Amino acid sequence: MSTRNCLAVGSWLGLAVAVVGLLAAPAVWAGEEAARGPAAAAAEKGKARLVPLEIKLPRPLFQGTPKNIKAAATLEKYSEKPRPPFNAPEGTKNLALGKKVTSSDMQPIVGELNLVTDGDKEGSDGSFVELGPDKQWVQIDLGAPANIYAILVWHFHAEGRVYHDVVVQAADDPDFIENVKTIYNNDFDNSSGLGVGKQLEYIDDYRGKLIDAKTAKGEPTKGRYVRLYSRGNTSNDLNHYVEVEVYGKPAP
Amino acid sequence: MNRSQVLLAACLLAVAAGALGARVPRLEVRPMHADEASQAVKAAVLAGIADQREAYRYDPREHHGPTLYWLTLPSLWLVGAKDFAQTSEFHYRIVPVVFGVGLIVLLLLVADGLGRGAALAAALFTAVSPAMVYYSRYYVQETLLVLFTLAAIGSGWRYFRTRSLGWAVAAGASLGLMHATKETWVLAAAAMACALVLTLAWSRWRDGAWPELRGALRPGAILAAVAAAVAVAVAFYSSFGTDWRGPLDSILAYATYLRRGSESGIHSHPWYWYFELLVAYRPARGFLWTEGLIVALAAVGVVAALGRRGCAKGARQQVPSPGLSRFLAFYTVTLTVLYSAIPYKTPWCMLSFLHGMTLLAGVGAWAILRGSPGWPLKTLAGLLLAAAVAHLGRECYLLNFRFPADQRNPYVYAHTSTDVLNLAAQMERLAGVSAEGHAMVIHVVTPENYWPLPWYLRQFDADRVGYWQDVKSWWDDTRQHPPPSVILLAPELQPEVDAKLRTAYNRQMIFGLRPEVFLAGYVREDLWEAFLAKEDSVAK
Repeated sequence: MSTRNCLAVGSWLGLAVAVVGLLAAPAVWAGEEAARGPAAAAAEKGKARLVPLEIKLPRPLFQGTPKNIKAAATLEKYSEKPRPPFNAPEGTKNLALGKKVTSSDMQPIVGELNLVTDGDKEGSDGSFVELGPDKQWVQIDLGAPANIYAILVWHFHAEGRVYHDVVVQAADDPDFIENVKTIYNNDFDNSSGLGVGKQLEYIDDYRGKLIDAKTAKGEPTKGRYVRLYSRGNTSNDLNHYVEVEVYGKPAP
Repeated sequence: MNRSQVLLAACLLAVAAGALGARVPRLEVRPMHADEASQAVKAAVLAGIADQREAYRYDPREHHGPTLYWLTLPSLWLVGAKDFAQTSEFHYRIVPVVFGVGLIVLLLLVADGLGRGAALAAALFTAVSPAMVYYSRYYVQETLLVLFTLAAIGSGWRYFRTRSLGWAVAAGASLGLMHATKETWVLAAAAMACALVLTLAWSRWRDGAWPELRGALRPGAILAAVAAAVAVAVAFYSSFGTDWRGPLDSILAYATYLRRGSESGIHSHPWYWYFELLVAYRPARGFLWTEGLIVALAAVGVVAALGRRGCAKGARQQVPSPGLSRFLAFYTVTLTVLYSAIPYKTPWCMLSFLHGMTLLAGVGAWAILRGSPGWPLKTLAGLLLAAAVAHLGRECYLLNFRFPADQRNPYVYAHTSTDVLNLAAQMERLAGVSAEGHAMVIHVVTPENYWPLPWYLRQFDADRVGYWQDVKSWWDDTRQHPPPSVILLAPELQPEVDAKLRTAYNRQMIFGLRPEVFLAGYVREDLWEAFLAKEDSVAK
């Protein structure tokens, strides 16, 4: 075969490969996309697909605005309107459900510590744990390091109350020594000794307090242990927990 | 006194010492109720150590009779208090403590009427009854009224037994003290009169003869008793001759209290409310409070007192005459019915008839012990009663020291939240960094009852702490003055107050005054910055 003929055959083969390749490429790309899933693909691009958290609320135990609380600048403004949805990456779930709870008060006055993560947030008798006076904490072991996007806490919602010095932290170890991150702090005068908090106090009600655990950069807080502090409330010096939910995903 | 009387006196004193031990510790553990705080101020005004310019005078609309304040003076003198700020909860609450213990000592007056065993059992019940202990640590008039009532009954009984003019005068003076203590004394007096008539009629029916009363109805003794009652009441209500309007007001006051007692309002409760508190109070799962033992034994005591026939003369030394027990049975039942029938109810009011029940419970307990045939059964009954008394003692501890201000406590009523202690502590910390110290200006603006704040702010210069019920009057009074260091206000007033603020304030604080009654705290920004700087330096 002459050189001229060889070039002609090569050109035709190249053209054929190019055409096949052009025809096959979208199918291959689509197949990979289907195999990875859209959320993972989006995550790869640096941004996860966000979906609203599905939060099941208990029935309200007190109706309407608590006595004497109408418009409070010192507090988060109390509103009876439904809370806006909180978006978190798809697959985010309550990692605290059924997990082990420890506390600074291992002999509660009322109830057991497992009530904190038993999924019952009704707030009536038998669904909350009552810890002793002054500063107390409960701690939840998520079982493994996790990316935490939100924490939802119900202290007590049978009457309008404000719990003082609510501080929420996450850490890698149960003693809260390594990699401690403060997620929320409304101890405005540092009376609990965990630093001055900038968040406002709030009235507990049946909707619980939704705490955004994402950092200023929008990253989730990483940790295995979540600890919640409080120091009495406006009705008495005791500390209560109906339920704590920790929304996140296992850390890779 | 014979040997058995000395032994009884020693036993009663021992129980009284135990009762003192149950009442004195940690008198400050429960925050001051609004009523206690306002009465402490009244006593301080009378003692001349408060910053108020007006002298004490009886107010027919509020605060009841003057004995509580006058009888607080020895406590304030003993500690040498020069001003209100130097006084503490102890100096006021020790007064009802002394009277609560006195209820046990005064059983000596009636022991021969109840029976010595019954008197001792009654002493034990009085010592450990959770309600009796709770309100013996509460700076209100109730314990004093109950003691003066027992003194009147005891003195009357002693007069009946001895025909001594001195006991007639003591009974009259006790009635006068009852009148000078609280307007509800009329209920106890009415119950006494009713019980006297019913006891006579019952004795006639049960024993077939009228009790011997002719010797007791001596005009001289009756006149002396009436004179003593009037003299004592007038002395207290006139502030010992300095306010002659007081005695008249003390009579006119009944119109106010009659209207208040019959009106429906926040203190209106159903007739069985007191029984609910006493017998089976279940405020939440895991909580059941009961003084049912005392109520049940009192019922046994009523049956024992009314069922027993009068004793033969020869048997008097061993078995007491049923006259006093019958009187107490009718008195207690009548008083309980009267208090239950009145719509206006507060838990401390039940102390009057509860005390009658503790006396009858002693009668009932002793009747059970005496009536149990054979030593084994007597021993068993004794052990059961001892266990029941131990149960009362445990409840007494829990309600007085573990849950003294908890809403699940049956004797806690419209009580100040423990959060007020945080408020007081925070004000002290702010005063610590303020250039003005305790002279810093504090404004309190709330349409709610602001008591007991004056008690918790008593360390501050009273001329620089102001109270207003609405924003308009606050603004009218203060707009010409520099902005205050601190404003404590009802959250519902915040928008109005915010619109009038002339300088920046930190607005993060909120405190509970009572359950679901809140006070927001504004701290002038310069003071707040100084406070945070100090906290920061302490932390470092």
